[in-house]
Amino acid sequence: MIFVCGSTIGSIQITAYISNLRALLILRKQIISALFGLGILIISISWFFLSENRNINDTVGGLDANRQAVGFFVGALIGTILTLIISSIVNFDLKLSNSDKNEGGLDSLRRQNYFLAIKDEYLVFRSDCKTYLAKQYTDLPKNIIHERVKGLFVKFR
Amino acid sequence: MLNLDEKILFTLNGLNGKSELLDKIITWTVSDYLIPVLLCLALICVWFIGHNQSTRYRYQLGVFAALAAMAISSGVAQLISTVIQRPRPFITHDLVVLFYKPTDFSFPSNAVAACFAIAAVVCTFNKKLGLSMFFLVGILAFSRIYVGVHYPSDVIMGAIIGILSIIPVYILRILIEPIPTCFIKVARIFRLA
Repeated sequence: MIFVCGSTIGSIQITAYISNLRALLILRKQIISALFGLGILIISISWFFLSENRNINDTVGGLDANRQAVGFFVGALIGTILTLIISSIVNFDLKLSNSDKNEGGLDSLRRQNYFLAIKDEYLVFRSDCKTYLAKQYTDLPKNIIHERVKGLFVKFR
Repeated sequence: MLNLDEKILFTLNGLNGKSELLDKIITWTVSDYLIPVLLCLALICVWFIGHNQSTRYRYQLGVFAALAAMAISSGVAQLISTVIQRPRPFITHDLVVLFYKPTDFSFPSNAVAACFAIAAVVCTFNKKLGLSMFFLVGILAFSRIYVGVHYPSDVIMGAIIGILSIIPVYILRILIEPIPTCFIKVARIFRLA
């Protein structure tokens, strides 16, 4: 799990550098943050394989596929949460001007730290939660079953 | 007379012990943890990559498709393995085994099928990354034969199952697209998509 957690932090750093998501970087200089990510990824992998023999059958103490999947999921989740917390602290002064506040999703993390982005989202939700929810779920793609059922309704009406 | 499958197996497995460095590298690459975990990390990267929302949305749907393809290929491989029940090569032949000795059946390779499925899906929306993934999975497939836990035909069948698993995923995608879309929208609220 430590291996996955470390690798996830490293991967997110590299990706944040490529996608220019400044709020996800845990070092102020972008290129140094990407190199740090690469370093942490290599160190995690090396530590994992050099610390002990990892090729163990699941019948004698190794992990079976299900436990591997759960371990990966938990490790990745912890790595992501740690990245969000650390990057929010490091980039505490990364704020959007009022004119840029209509940017949503990951795009907002180019110029605003994660904590502030979530805070803004919450404030919008609290001001008018009905409109907010309607806006979020109006353009969902309709699946084929929905289309067929709708077609039948129209036909028999 | 030895068939081609066994000939290739004996040739590759015969390389065991010739180079200590190669053996060491192979014990890493054949691991259940290295290449599968690298592929999953690549999927995490794919989730965040994309300079605008529509590109990211396409990539994020691709991540779900890759996971679905992985599950389908794994299930199919498991099913075929239960039906065919081919014993592992180290049971029927005198081989040098560098890996632990798996207790399940040999045909087809489940790990290779799952990894090929991920690479195949990624290749449909990002050729460069997909081809790099295919290269990594190729190393995994080679390693599995090298250490003596699979016949070449096991990994070839695994690869075929993995690649073909994108067909049901793309058929099912029309049916289930609202589910990942819903998930992506929730993630977008939390500024993670």
